[in-house]
Amino acid sequence: MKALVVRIWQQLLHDKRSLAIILLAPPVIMSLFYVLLGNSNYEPRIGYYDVPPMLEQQLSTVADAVSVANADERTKLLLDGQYDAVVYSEANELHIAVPETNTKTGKAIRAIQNTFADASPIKIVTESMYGSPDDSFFESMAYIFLAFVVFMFTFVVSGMAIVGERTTHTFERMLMTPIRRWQIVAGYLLGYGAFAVLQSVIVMLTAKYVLHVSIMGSFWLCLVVLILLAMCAVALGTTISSFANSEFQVMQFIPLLILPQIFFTGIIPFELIPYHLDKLRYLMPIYYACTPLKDIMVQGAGFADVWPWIFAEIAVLAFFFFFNTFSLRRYRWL
Amino acid sequence: MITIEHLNKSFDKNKVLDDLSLELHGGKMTCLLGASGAGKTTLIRLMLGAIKPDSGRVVIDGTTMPNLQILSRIGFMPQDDALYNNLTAMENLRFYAGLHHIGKDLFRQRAATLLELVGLTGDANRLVDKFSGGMRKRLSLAVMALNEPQIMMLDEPTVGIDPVLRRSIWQQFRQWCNEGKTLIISTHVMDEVDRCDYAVLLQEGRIRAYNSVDNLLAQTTNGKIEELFLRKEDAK
Repeated sequence: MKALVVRIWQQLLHDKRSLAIILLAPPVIMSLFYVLLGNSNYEPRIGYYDVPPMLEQQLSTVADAVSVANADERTKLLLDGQYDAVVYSEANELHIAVPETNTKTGKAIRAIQNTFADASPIKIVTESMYGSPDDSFFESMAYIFLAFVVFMFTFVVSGMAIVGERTTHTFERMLMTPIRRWQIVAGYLLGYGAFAVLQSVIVMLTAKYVLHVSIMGSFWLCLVVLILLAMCAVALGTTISSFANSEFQVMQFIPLLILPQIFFTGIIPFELIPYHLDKLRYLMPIYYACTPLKDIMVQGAGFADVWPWIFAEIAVLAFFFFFNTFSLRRYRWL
Repeated sequence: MITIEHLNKSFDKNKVLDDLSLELHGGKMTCLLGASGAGKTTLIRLMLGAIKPDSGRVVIDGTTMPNLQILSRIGFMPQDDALYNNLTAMENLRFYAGLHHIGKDLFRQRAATLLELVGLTGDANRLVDKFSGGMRKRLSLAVMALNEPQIMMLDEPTVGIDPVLRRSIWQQFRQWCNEGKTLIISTHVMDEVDRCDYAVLLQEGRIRAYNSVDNLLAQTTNGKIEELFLRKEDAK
């Protein structure tokens, strides 16, 4: 087993491109998410007519607000894409017209609603138990990006492991030696797992010290959860790899097995998922990592709170270990 | 002694080996001769325990295969070189030495001897990716011999290599045989049979002839095993 672990390390150290993908790509992708999904300085363009003067003044403080002549001009400006929204009053109602619903028009709608709420005698103050209402999308979902990036990259690299060996027949040659099946599985797990650990450390350090992601609980506990997830991804990768007949087939498993994971990270509240499909989360390794990661990072949970999740991750890992050992019987029945 | 008892193997309803029984002599060089698809590679893989027979069994020195202890006494050279391109020659050898639990000092000694034997001493630290086809074949041979196996199974070891290298490889096989090792060599090159002690003629998963090479050659009119092979083919 030790020989297999050392061989995998040597192979990866010789293969600079794979090494770069394992160690550098995840923090780069994380940083890209941070920039793309961070708070933007975009100021919505809002037109108005027939609104109370107080609202006109308030609007200009939060948006690029311009007076519009009438309904005809409103339609023209919206269709031309010059304005994100036009607010007007009609029959004692305040109307907000938008060309279509998207993130940009959503921002304009929120600006108008906030302005109206500020102008009313009763103030609305939003209090969040955890995090801040002003957090960017990236900040509020950082735990998801951490987990998904590590899971995805580790899977891709380890997924090519056995299938690559089978196509070059080195796998068959290895099986003609006295190595045991469980030693092969453990060798792959430890060989690729070491790089998965390194990758998890780099991603966590990038999140904390470069992107300044808020971690309310223990950094080290987050790291343990992330490392276990990475190990699960290695185990899943080697499972797929032992069933696929080519590298191309492994790639085909990505939309089938990896992309659906993101829907069970917590990005969509499980209560909103229809037809009891939320139950599928129990089959997704990423679910057992994202739940405790959120608890630790956002709510400051400690080991006493998240140990069942850590135990679940270990159980997933153990399942894949035994499953892989058993499934290798297809290549050597001893 | 390798005993094969009523071995049957099919792949997707295609019968590859049909009730094959055979006793291979220890300390001799036996050639498995047959056209492509005759079942040579399947027979080797069954002897190694890589695949499960539909029925029948392979017994090596009294032990039914597969058996890890017996495997540690077998050297296997597959038809493809089966080397790690992104490792050096020495790293390839070290990996297989590790799988055979060969200690550091013994490995250094054996690796030096084998690399010299196959003429790759100066290329020990070069990536296999940069090797020519002949160099790869020679390294593959060194990997096979690393655990000083008592039984050597070689699947088409001389395919795609030049005549000079082929001659030196056969000389090495003979030397190992003279040292008391058992060699089982699959080939579809009829001329190579002359170099072996025994030959098994395989056709469509059945044994058409098995005898010492001298006896088989005595049955021919032109001293070429090809005649015997074609005669069997015509008689089908």
